[in-house]
Amino acid sequence: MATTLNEEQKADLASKIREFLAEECDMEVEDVKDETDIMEDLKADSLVFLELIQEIQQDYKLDIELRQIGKYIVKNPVRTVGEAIETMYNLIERGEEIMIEMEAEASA
Amino acid sequence: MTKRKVVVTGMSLITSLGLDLEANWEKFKAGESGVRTGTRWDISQTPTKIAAELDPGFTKFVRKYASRRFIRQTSRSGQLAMVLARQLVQAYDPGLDKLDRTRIGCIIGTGGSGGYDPDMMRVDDTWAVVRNMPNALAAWISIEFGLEGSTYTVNSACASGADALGIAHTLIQSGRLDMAVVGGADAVVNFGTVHGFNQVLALSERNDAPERASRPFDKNRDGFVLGEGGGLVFLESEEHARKRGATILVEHAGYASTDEATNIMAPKEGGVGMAQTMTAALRDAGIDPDEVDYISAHGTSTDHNDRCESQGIRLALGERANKVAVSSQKSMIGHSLGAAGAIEFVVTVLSMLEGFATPTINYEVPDPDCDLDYVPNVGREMKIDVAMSNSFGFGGHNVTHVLRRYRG
Repeated sequence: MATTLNEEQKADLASKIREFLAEECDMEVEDVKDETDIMEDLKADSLVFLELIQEIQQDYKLDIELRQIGKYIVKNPVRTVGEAIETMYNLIERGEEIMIEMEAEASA
Repeated sequence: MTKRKVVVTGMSLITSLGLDLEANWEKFKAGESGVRTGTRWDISQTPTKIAAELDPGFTKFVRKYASRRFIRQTSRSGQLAMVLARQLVQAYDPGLDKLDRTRIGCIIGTGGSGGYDPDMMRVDDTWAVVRNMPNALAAWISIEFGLEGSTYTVNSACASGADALGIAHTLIQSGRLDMAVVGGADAVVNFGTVHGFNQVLALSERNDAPERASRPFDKNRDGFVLGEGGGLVFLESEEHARKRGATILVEHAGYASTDEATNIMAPKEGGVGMAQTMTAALRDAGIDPDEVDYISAHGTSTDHNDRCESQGIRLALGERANKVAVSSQKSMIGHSLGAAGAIEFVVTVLSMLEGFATPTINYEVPDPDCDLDYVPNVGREMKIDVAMSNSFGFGGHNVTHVLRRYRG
Protein backbone atom coordinates (compact mmCIF):
# COMPACT_ATOMS: atom_id res chain seq x y z
CA MET A 1 0.00 0.00 0.00
CA ALA A 2 1.40 3.37 -0.95
CA THR A 3 1.55 5.93 1.83
CA THR A 4 0.99 9.62 1.21
CA LEU A 5 2.59 12.08 3.59
CA ASN A 6 0.72 15.31 4.26
CA GLU A 7 2.58 18.63 4.68
CA GLU A 8 2.58 18.37 8.46
CA GLN A 9 4.04 14.83 8.39
CA LYS A 10 6.64 15.96 5.90
CA ALA A 11 7.70 18.88 8.10
CA ASP A 12 7.86 16.60 11.12
CA LEU A 13 9.98 14.04 9.27
CA ALA A 14 12.32 16.75 7.96
CA SER A 15 12.92 18.09 11.42
CA LYS A 16 13.52 14.56 12.79
CA ILE A 17 16.14 14.03 10.08
CA ARG A 18 17.85 17.34 10.88
CA GLU A 19 17.85 16.55 14.59
CA PHE A 20 19.26 13.06 14.03
CA LEU A 21 22.07 14.35 11.81
CA ALA A 22 22.86 17.20 14.21
CA GLU A 23 23.11 14.87 17.18
CA GLU A 24 25.01 12.16 15.32
CA CYS A 25 27.56 14.60 13.90
CA ASP A 26 27.83 16.90 16.88
CA MET A 27 26.41 19.97 15.15
CA GLU A 28 23.83 22.60 16.06
CA VAL A 29 20.51 21.74 14.42
CA GLU A 30 20.25 25.22 12.91
CA ASP A 31 23.49 24.51 11.02
CA VAL A 32 21.98 21.43 9.36
CA LYS A 33 20.39 23.10 6.34
CA ASP A 34 19.00 21.66 3.11
CA GLU A 35 22.17 22.54 1.23
CA THR A 36 24.50 21.13 3.91
CA ASP A 37 26.72 18.40 2.43
CA ILE A 38 26.52 15.29 4.63
CA MET A 39 30.07 14.08 3.98
CA GLU A 40 31.88 17.39 3.47
CA ASP A 41 30.15 19.64 6.01
CA LEU A 42 28.92 17.17 8.62
CA LYS A 43 31.98 14.92 8.28
CA ALA A 44 29.67 11.91 8.31
CA ASP A 45 30.35 8.71 6.38
CA SER A 46 28.42 7.09 3.58
CA LEU A 47 26.42 4.86 5.93
CA VAL A 48 24.82 7.59 8.01
CA PHE A 49 21.75 7.55 5.76
CA LEU A 50 21.10 3.89 6.59
CA GLU A 51 21.42 4.62 10.29
CA LEU A 52 18.94 7.41 9.80
CA ILE A 53 16.51 4.95 8.20
CA GLN A 54 16.92 2.54 11.11
CA GLU A 55 16.07 5.42 13.41
CA ILE A 56 12.78 6.34 11.73
CA GLN A 57 11.80 3.00 10.15
CA GLN A 58 9.25 2.00 12.78
CA ASP A 59 7.52 5.37 13.08
CA TYR A 60 6.82 5.46 9.35
CA LYS A 61 6.08 1.79 8.65
CA LEU A 62 8.94 1.51 6.18
CA ASP A 63 9.01 -2.24 5.60
CA ILE A 64 11.71 -2.48 2.97
CA GLU A 65 14.80 -4.43 3.96
CA LEU A 66 17.60 -2.11 4.94
CA ARG A 67 20.06 -3.88 2.64
CA GLN A 68 17.77 -3.15 -0.32
CA ILE A 69 17.70 0.51 0.59
CA GLY A 70 21.48 0.42 0.92
CA LYS A 71 21.79 -0.89 -2.62
CA TYR A 72 19.44 1.82 -3.85
CA ILE A 73 21.56 4.48 -2.15
CA VAL A 74 24.74 3.11 -3.74
CA LYS A 75 23.11 3.63 -7.15
CA ASN A 76 21.46 6.93 -6.17
CA PRO A 77 23.86 8.67 -3.80
CA VAL A 78 22.52 11.17 -1.29
CA ARG A 79 24.85 14.14 -0.86
CA THR A 80 22.98 16.92 0.91
CA VAL A 81 20.55 17.06 3.81
CA GLY A 82 17.84 18.26 1.40
CA GLU A 83 18.46 15.20 -0.81
CA ALA A 84 18.30 12.96 2.25
CA ILE A 85 14.90 14.42 3.17
CA GLU A 86 13.54 14.08 -0.38
CA THR A 87 14.86 10.51 -0.68
CA MET A 88 13.21 9.64 2.61
CA TYR A 89 9.84 11.07 1.44
CA ASN A 90 10.17 9.00 -1.75
CA LEU A 91 11.04 5.79 0.09
CA ILE A 92 8.11 6.17 2.46
CA GLU A 93 5.61 7.12 -0.23
CA ARG A 94 6.66 4.73 -3.01
CA GLY A 95 9.46 2.57 -1.61
CA GLU A 96 8.14 -0.78 -2.80
CA GLU A 97 7.67 0.55 -6.31
CA ILE A 98 11.23 1.95 -6.32
CA MET A 99 12.65 -1.40 -5.20
CA ILE A 100 10.76 -3.26 -7.95
CA GLU A 101 12.09 -0.78 -10.52
CA MET A 102 15.62 -1.27 -9.17
CA GLU A 103 15.39 -5.07 -9.39
CA ALA A 104 14.04 -4.84 -12.94
CA GLU A 105 16.90 -2.54 -13.92
CA ALA A 106 19.49 -4.90 -12.37
CA SER A 107 18.18 -7.93 -14.22
CA ALA A 108 17.83 -6.05 -17.53
CA MET B 1 73.25 10.76 0.90
CA THR B 2 72.70 8.96 -2.38
CA LYS B 3 69.56 6.85 -2.45
CA ARG B 4 70.31 3.18 -3.01
CA LYS B 5 68.49 1.37 -5.80
CA VAL B 6 66.02 -1.26 -4.54
CA VAL B 7 65.43 -4.50 -6.42
CA VAL B 8 63.25 -7.61 -6.18
CA THR B 9 65.20 -10.88 -5.98
CA GLY B 10 62.62 -13.50 -5.05
CA MET B 11 58.91 -14.09 -4.60
CA SER B 12 56.32 -16.54 -3.34
CA LEU B 13 52.56 -16.62 -3.80
CA ILE B 14 49.55 -18.50 -2.40
CA THR B 15 45.93 -17.69 -3.23
CA SER B 16 42.67 -19.52 -3.86
CA LEU B 17 44.13 -20.39 -7.27
CA GLY B 18 46.96 -22.48 -5.86
CA LEU B 19 49.41 -23.25 -3.09
CA ASP B 20 52.55 -22.17 -4.92
CA LEU B 21 53.75 -19.53 -7.35
CA GLU B 22 53.75 -21.68 -10.48
CA ALA B 23 50.21 -23.01 -10.04
CA ASN B 24 48.98 -19.48 -9.42
CA TRP B 25 50.62 -18.00 -12.47
CA GLU B 26 49.16 -20.60 -14.84
CA LYS B 27 45.65 -19.88 -13.54
CA PHE B 28 46.11 -16.12 -13.49
CA LYS B 29 47.16 -16.33 -17.13
CA ALA B 30 44.19 -18.51 -18.02
CA GLY B 31 41.78 -16.18 -16.24
CA GLU B 32 40.40 -18.74 -13.80
CA SER B 33 38.30 -17.85 -10.80
CA GLY B 34 39.08 -19.10 -7.29
CA VAL B 35 35.67 -18.06 -5.93
CA ARG B 36 33.37 -20.83 -4.64
CA THR B 37 30.54 -21.31 -2.15
CA GLY B 38 32.05 -20.63 1.30
CA THR B 39 33.05 -23.44 3.65
CA ARG B 40 34.76 -21.60 6.47
CA TRP B 41 31.65 -20.19 8.17
CA ASP B 42 27.95 -21.00 8.49
CA ILE B 43 26.72 -19.51 5.23
CA SER B 44 23.09 -19.67 6.37
CA GLN B 45 23.90 -16.81 8.75
CA THR B 46 25.10 -14.25 6.19
CA PRO B 47 23.66 -12.69 3.01
CA THR B 48 26.97 -13.41 1.25
CA LYS B 49 27.67 -17.12 0.85
CA ILE B 50 30.74 -17.09 -1.40
CA ALA B 51 34.48 -16.53 -0.95
CA ALA B 52 37.86 -17.22 -2.53
CA GLU B 53 39.21 -19.55 0.14
CA LEU B 54 42.52 -21.38 0.08
CA ASP B 55 42.45 -24.96 -1.19
CA PRO B 56 40.83 -27.19 1.48
CA GLY B 57 44.12 -29.12 1.55
CA PHE B 58 45.92 -26.09 2.99
CA THR B 59 45.63 -27.29 6.59
CA LYS B 60 47.50 -30.51 5.76
CA PHE B 61 49.83 -28.69 3.41
CA VAL B 62 51.10 -26.52 6.28
CA ARG B 63 52.46 -29.66 8.00
CA LYS B 64 55.00 -30.00 5.19
CA TYR B 65 56.47 -26.70 6.28
CA ALA B 66 55.84 -26.41 10.02
CA SER B 67 55.70 -28.44 13.21
CA ARG B 68 52.51 -29.40 15.00
CA ARG B 69 53.56 -27.15 17.85
CA PHE B 70 54.02 -24.17 15.54
CA ILE B 71 50.56 -24.78 14.09
CA ARG B 72 49.02 -24.73 17.58
CA GLN B 73 50.74 -21.47 18.34
CA THR B 74 49.76 -19.61 15.17
CA SER B 75 46.70 -18.30 13.37
CA ARG B 76 45.77 -19.40 9.86
CA SER B 77 47.32 -16.15 8.60
CA GLY B 78 50.49 -16.82 10.61
CA GLN B 79 50.74 -20.30 9.10
CA LEU B 80 50.21 -18.89 5.64
CA ALA B 81 52.97 -16.32 6.16
CA MET B 82 55.37 -19.02 7.33
CA VAL B 83 54.65 -21.30 4.37
CA LEU B 84 55.20 -18.35 2.03
CA ALA B 85 58.52 -17.51 3.73
CA ARG B 86 59.74 -21.10 3.47
CA GLN B 87 58.73 -21.29 -0.19
CA LEU B 88 60.54 -18.01 -0.82
CA VAL B 89 63.77 -19.13 0.84
CA GLN B 90 63.65 -22.57 -0.81
CA ALA B 91 63.07 -21.20 -4.31
CA TYR B 92 65.46 -18.23 -4.18
CA ASP B 93 67.92 -19.42 -1.53
CA PRO B 94 70.00 -16.33 -0.69
CA GLY B 95 72.45 -18.28 1.51
CA LEU B 96 71.34 -16.56 4.68
CA ASP B 97 74.15 -18.15 6.70
CA LYS B 98 76.71 -16.13 4.78
CA LEU B 99 74.87 -12.81 5.10
CA ASP B 100 74.86 -10.24 7.91
CA ARG B 101 71.43 -11.02 9.32
CA THR B 102 71.40 -7.96 11.56
CA ARG B 103 70.84 -6.09 8.25
CA ILE B 104 67.92 -8.25 7.08
CA GLY B 105 64.39 -7.53 8.34
CA CYS B 106 60.91 -8.92 7.98
CA ILE B 107 57.90 -6.65 7.38
CA ILE B 108 54.49 -8.16 6.81
CA GLY B 109 51.21 -6.41 6.03
CA THR B 110 48.02 -7.90 7.38
CA GLY B 111 44.58 -6.41 7.56
CA GLY B 112 42.24 -8.74 9.39
CA SER B 113 44.56 -10.96 11.38
CA GLY B 114 44.51 -10.65 15.14
CA GLY B 115 41.33 -10.09 17.06
CA TYR B 116 38.97 -11.82 14.63
CA ASP B 117 40.06 -15.36 15.44
CA PRO B 118 37.20 -17.13 17.23
CA ASP B 119 39.78 -19.26 19.08
CA MET B 120 40.58 -16.14 21.12
CA MET B 121 37.35 -16.86 23.02
CA ARG B 122 38.45 -20.24 24.38
CA VAL B 123 39.27 -19.99 28.08
CA ASP B 124 41.69 -22.92 28.14
CA ASP B 125 43.74 -21.70 25.22
CA THR B 126 47.38 -21.31 26.28
CA TRP B 127 48.38 -19.67 23.02
CA ALA B 128 45.56 -17.14 22.57
CA VAL B 129 47.82 -14.11 22.90
CA VAL B 130 50.73 -15.46 20.91
CA ARG B 131 48.43 -16.76 18.18
CA ASN B 132 46.41 -13.62 17.78
CA MET B 133 48.97 -10.85 18.12
CA PRO B 134 49.19 -9.43 14.60
CA ASN B 135 52.97 -8.94 14.84
CA ALA B 136 53.36 -12.74 15.14
CA LEU B 137 53.27 -13.03 11.36
CA ALA B 138 56.57 -11.21 10.99
CA ALA B 139 58.09 -12.32 14.30
CA TRP B 140 57.88 -16.05 13.54
CA ILE B 141 59.58 -15.59 10.18
CA SER B 142 62.42 -13.66 11.77
CA ILE B 143 62.77 -16.35 14.45
CA GLU B 144 62.76 -19.12 11.85
CA PHE B 145 65.43 -17.55 9.66
CA GLY B 146 67.39 -15.59 12.26
CA LEU B 147 66.60 -12.19 10.72
CA GLU B 148 67.70 -9.59 13.26
CA GLY B 149 66.87 -6.40 11.39
CA SER B 150 63.63 -4.38 11.71
CA THR B 151 60.73 -6.79 12.07
CA TYR B 152 57.07 -5.89 12.44
CA THR B 153 53.58 -6.09 11.04
CA VAL B 154 51.97 -3.19 9.23
CA ASN B 155 48.27 -2.45 9.20
CA SER B 156 46.61 0.03 6.91
CA ALA B 157 43.58 -2.14 6.11
CA CYS B 158 43.55 -3.20 2.47
CA ALA B 159 46.75 -1.28 1.78
CA SER B 160 48.72 -3.17 4.48
CA GLY B 161 50.78 -5.41 2.21
CA ALA B 162 51.52 -2.49 -0.09
CA ASP B 163 52.58 -0.33 2.85
CA ALA B 164 54.84 -3.12 4.14
CA LEU B 165 56.60 -3.12 0.75
CA GLY B 166 56.91 0.66 0.87
CA ILE B 167 58.39 0.73 4.35
CA ALA B 168 60.90 -1.98 3.46
CA HIS B 169 61.78 -0.03 0.31
CA THR B 170 62.53 3.08 2.38
CA LEU B 171 64.58 1.18 4.96
CA ILE B 172 66.69 -0.44 2.24
CA GLN B 173 67.00 2.70 0.15
CA SER B 174 68.21 4.70 3.15
CA GLY B 175 70.76 2.08 4.16
CA ARG B 176 69.11 0.94 7.39
CA LEU B 177 68.59 -2.55 5.96
CA ASP B 178 70.28 -4.43 3.12
CA MET B 179 67.45 -6.84 2.53
CA ALA B 180 63.98 -7.80 3.76
CA VAL B 181 61.45 -10.58 3.60
CA VAL B 182 58.39 -8.47 2.89
CA GLY B 183 54.80 -8.74 1.75
CA GLY B 184 51.41 -9.63 3.18
CA ALA B 185 49.24 -12.52 4.33
CA ASP B 186 45.59 -12.64 5.35
CA ALA B 187 43.36 -15.65 5.84
CA VAL B 188 40.36 -14.41 7.76
CA VAL B 189 37.38 -15.70 5.84
CA ASN B 190 35.14 -16.43 8.82
CA PHE B 191 31.74 -15.40 10.14
CA GLY B 192 33.04 -12.20 11.78
CA THR B 193 34.68 -10.89 8.63
CA VAL B 194 31.84 -11.80 6.26
CA HIS B 195 29.18 -10.50 8.62
CA GLY B 196 31.11 -7.28 9.23
CA PHE B 197 31.58 -6.49 5.57
CA ASN B 198 27.98 -7.48 4.81
CA GLN B 199 26.83 -4.93 7.37
CA VAL B 200 28.49 -2.14 5.42
CA LEU B 201 27.17 -3.51 2.12
CA ALA B 202 30.66 -4.07 0.75
CA LEU B 203 30.36 -7.69 -0.41
CA SER B 204 28.95 -9.24 -3.56
CA GLU B 205 25.82 -11.30 -3.00
CA ARG B 206 25.93 -13.04 -6.37
CA ASN B 207 25.70 -16.36 -4.55
CA ASP B 208 24.24 -18.33 -7.44
CA ALA B 209 27.27 -17.71 -9.65
CA PRO B 210 30.38 -17.61 -7.41
CA GLU B 211 32.92 -17.64 -10.24
CA ARG B 212 31.21 -14.67 -11.86
CA ALA B 213 30.75 -12.63 -8.70
CA SER B 214 33.96 -10.61 -8.68
CA ARG B 215 33.57 -8.33 -11.69
CA PRO B 216 35.71 -5.21 -11.32
CA PHE B 217 34.81 -2.30 -13.61
CA ASP B 218 31.74 -4.14 -14.98
CA LYS B 219 28.55 -2.10 -14.80
CA ASN B 220 26.77 -4.83 -12.84
CA ARG B 221 29.40 -5.21 -10.11
CA ASP B 222 27.80 -5.53 -6.70
CA GLY B 223 30.66 -5.59 -4.22
CA PHE B 224 33.88 -7.47 -3.56
CA VAL B 225 34.42 -11.14 -2.76
CA LEU B 226 36.49 -11.97 0.31
CA GLY B 227 39.63 -13.93 -0.41
CA GLU B 228 42.49 -15.59 1.41
CA GLY B 229 46.09 -15.47 0.33
CA GLY B 230 49.49 -13.91 0.57
CA GLY B 231 52.62 -12.96 -1.28
CA LEU B 232 56.18 -12.34 -0.18
CA VAL B 233 59.26 -11.00 -1.91
CA PHE B 234 62.91 -10.43 -1.19
CA LEU B 235 63.52 -6.70 -1.48
CA GLU B 236 67.15 -5.79 -1.44
CA SER B 237 69.59 -3.06 -2.33
CA GLU B 238 71.02 -3.49 -5.82
CA GLU B 239 74.51 -3.39 -4.35
CA HIS B 240 73.75 -6.21 -1.89
CA ALA B 241 72.07 -8.33 -4.57
CA ARG B 242 75.00 -7.95 -6.98
CA LYS B 243 77.55 -8.65 -4.28
CA ARG B 244 75.94 -11.99 -3.46
CA GLY B 245 75.39 -12.82 -7.13
CA ALA B 246 71.60 -12.87 -6.97
CA THR B 247 69.40 -12.82 -10.06
CA ILE B 248 67.63 -9.45 -10.08
CA LEU B 249 64.01 -9.84 -11.21
CA VAL B 250 62.90 -6.20 -11.49
CA GLU B 251 63.72 -2.80 -10.03
CA HIS B 252 61.36 -1.48 -7.37
CA ALA B 253 61.69 2.02 -8.73
CA GLY B 254 59.55 3.94 -6.24
CA TYR B 255 56.30 4.24 -4.38
CA ALA B 256 54.01 6.63 -2.54
CA SER B 257 51.92 6.12 0.57
CA THR B 258 49.34 8.76 1.50
CA ASP B 259 46.10 9.20 3.35
CA GLU B 260 43.02 10.98 2.03
CA ALA B 261 42.20 12.22 5.55
CA THR B 262 38.57 12.56 4.55
CA ASN B 263 36.34 9.55 5.09
CA ILE B 264 36.70 6.25 6.96
CA MET B 265 35.31 4.18 4.07
CA ALA B 266 34.70 6.07 0.86
CA PRO B 267 37.42 7.41 -1.42
CA LYS B 268 37.38 11.06 -2.48
CA GLU B 269 35.02 11.59 -5.39
CA GLY B 270 36.68 11.86 -8.77
CA GLY B 271 39.59 9.70 -7.58
CA VAL B 272 41.46 12.86 -6.63
CA GLY B 273 43.31 11.28 -3.70
CA MET B 274 44.16 8.16 -5.65
CA ALA B 275 45.52 10.28 -8.50
CA GLN B 276 47.72 12.27 -6.12
CA THR B 277 49.20 9.03 -4.84
CA MET B 278 49.86 7.66 -8.34
CA THR B 279 51.50 10.94 -9.36
CA ALA B 280 53.67 11.00 -6.23
CA ALA B 281 54.77 7.41 -6.85
CA LEU B 282 55.79 8.17 -10.43
CA ARG B 283 57.70 11.23 -9.23
CA ASP B 284 59.46 9.14 -6.57
CA ALA B 285 60.47 6.65 -9.26
CA GLY B 286 61.56 9.41 -11.65
CA ILE B 287 59.21 8.04 -14.30
CA ASP B 288 57.04 10.00 -16.71
CA PRO B 289 53.36 9.00 -17.07
CA ASP B 290 54.02 8.32 -20.77
CA GLU B 291 56.38 5.49 -19.83
CA VAL B 292 53.73 3.46 -17.96
CA ASP B 293 52.69 0.29 -19.80
CA TYR B 294 50.55 -1.53 -17.27
CA ILE B 295 48.62 -0.92 -14.04
CA SER B 296 47.61 -3.63 -11.62
CA ALA B 297 44.49 -1.94 -10.28
CA HIS B 298 43.14 -2.16 -6.75
CA GLY B 299 39.91 -2.96 -8.69
CA THR B 300 37.77 -4.38 -5.92
CA SER B 301 34.45 -4.74 -7.78
CA THR B 302 32.72 -2.19 -5.56
CA ASP B 303 30.83 0.68 -7.11
CA HIS B 304 32.92 3.39 -5.44
CA ASN B 305 36.42 2.00 -5.81
CA ASP B 306 36.25 1.06 -9.45
CA ARG B 307 34.71 4.34 -10.54
CA CYS B 308 37.09 6.50 -8.48
CA GLU B 309 40.16 4.46 -9.41
CA SER B 310 39.35 4.73 -13.12
CA GLN B 311 38.91 8.50 -12.78
CA GLY B 312 42.10 8.67 -10.71
CA ILE B 313 44.10 6.86 -13.39
CA ARG B 314 42.82 9.35 -15.97
CA LEU B 315 43.78 12.27 -13.75
CA ALA B 316 47.26 10.92 -13.00
CA LEU B 317 48.18 9.69 -16.47
CA GLY B 318 46.31 12.14 -18.70
CA GLU B 319 46.40 11.06 -22.36
CA ARG B 320 48.47 8.02 -21.46
CA ALA B 321 45.39 6.54 -19.74
CA ASN B 322 44.04 5.73 -23.21
CA LYS B 323 47.02 3.52 -23.95
CA VAL B 324 47.79 1.82 -20.66
CA ALA B 325 46.52 -1.72 -19.89
CA VAL B 326 44.76 -1.93 -16.53
CA SER B 327 43.71 -5.20 -14.90
CA SER B 328 42.34 -6.43 -11.62
CA GLN B 329 43.72 -9.65 -10.12
CA LYS B 330 40.78 -9.51 -7.70
CA SER B 331 38.46 -10.54 -10.54
CA MET B 332 40.01 -14.00 -10.10
CA ILE B 333 41.06 -14.25 -6.45
CA GLY B 334 38.70 -11.87 -4.69
CA HIS B 335 40.03 -9.43 -2.14
CA SER B 336 42.52 -10.78 0.39
CA LEU B 337 42.39 -7.57 2.47
CA GLY B 338 45.84 -6.77 3.92
CA ALA B 339 47.55 -9.26 1.64
CA ALA B 340 46.07 -7.94 -1.59
CA GLY B 341 48.75 -5.32 -2.28
CA ALA B 342 51.54 -7.85 -1.82
CA ILE B 343 49.84 -10.53 -3.94
CA GLU B 344 49.28 -8.02 -6.73
CA PHE B 345 52.87 -6.78 -6.47
CA VAL B 346 54.07 -10.35 -7.04
CA VAL B 347 51.67 -10.91 -9.96
CA THR B 348 52.85 -7.62 -11.46
CA VAL B 349 56.49 -8.77 -11.26
CA LEU B 350 55.48 -12.03 -12.98
CA SER B 351 53.59 -10.07 -15.65
CA MET B 352 56.73 -8.04 -16.40
CA LEU B 353 59.02 -11.06 -16.48
CA GLU B 354 56.67 -13.14 -18.62
CA GLY B 355 55.51 -10.30 -20.88
CA PHE B 356 51.88 -11.02 -20.14
CA ALA B 357 49.10 -8.84 -18.72
CA THR B 358 46.61 -10.93 -16.75
CA PRO B 359 42.92 -10.38 -17.57
CA THR B 360 40.06 -8.76 -15.70
CA ILE B 361 37.56 -11.59 -15.84
CA ASN B 362 33.76 -11.30 -15.73
CA TYR B 363 33.88 -8.06 -17.65
CA GLU B 364 30.60 -8.15 -19.58
CA VAL B 365 28.82 -4.80 -19.49
CA PRO B 366 30.89 -1.63 -19.86
CA ASP B 367 30.28 1.10 -17.30
CA PRO B 368 30.45 4.65 -18.75
CA ASP B 369 32.18 5.74 -15.52
CA CYS B 370 34.94 3.14 -16.04
CA ASP B 371 36.33 3.70 -19.50
CA LEU B 372 39.85 2.29 -19.60
CA ASP B 373 41.37 -0.80 -21.25
CA TYR B 374 40.81 -3.39 -18.51
CA VAL B 375 42.31 -6.35 -20.46
CA PRO B 376 38.79 -7.79 -20.51
CA ASN B 377 38.36 -11.54 -19.96
CA VAL B 378 41.42 -12.70 -21.88
CA GLY B 379 45.03 -12.05 -20.88
CA ARG B 380 47.37 -10.39 -23.31
CA GLU B 381 50.98 -10.85 -24.34
CA MET B 382 52.64 -7.47 -24.10
CA LYS B 383 56.01 -6.00 -23.21
CA ILE B 384 55.87 -4.33 -19.84
CA ASP B 385 58.85 -2.12 -19.02
CA VAL B 386 57.10 0.01 -16.40
CA ALA B 387 54.20 -1.12 -14.23
CA MET B 388 52.25 0.39 -11.37
CA SER B 389 50.36 -1.44 -8.65
CA ASN B 390 47.60 0.33 -6.70
CA SER B 391 46.25 -0.49 -3.23
CA PHE B 392 43.63 1.48 -1.31
CA GLY B 393 42.24 0.80 2.16
CA PHE B 394 39.41 1.79 4.49
CA GLY B 395 40.73 4.78 6.37
CA GLY B 396 41.83 6.55 3.21
CA HIS B 397 45.14 4.67 2.92
CA ASN B 398 46.47 4.89 -0.63
CA VAL B 399 49.63 3.20 -1.88
CA THR B 400 51.05 2.99 -5.39
CA HIS B 401 54.19 1.06 -6.32
CA VAL B 402 56.20 1.55 -9.48
CA LEU B 403 58.25 -1.30 -10.94
CA ARG B 404 60.72 -1.01 -13.82
CA ARG B 405 62.46 -3.61 -15.93
CA TYR B 406 65.98 -4.08 -14.55
CA ARG B 407 68.69 -2.99 -16.91
CA GLY B 408 71.80 -3.63 -14.84
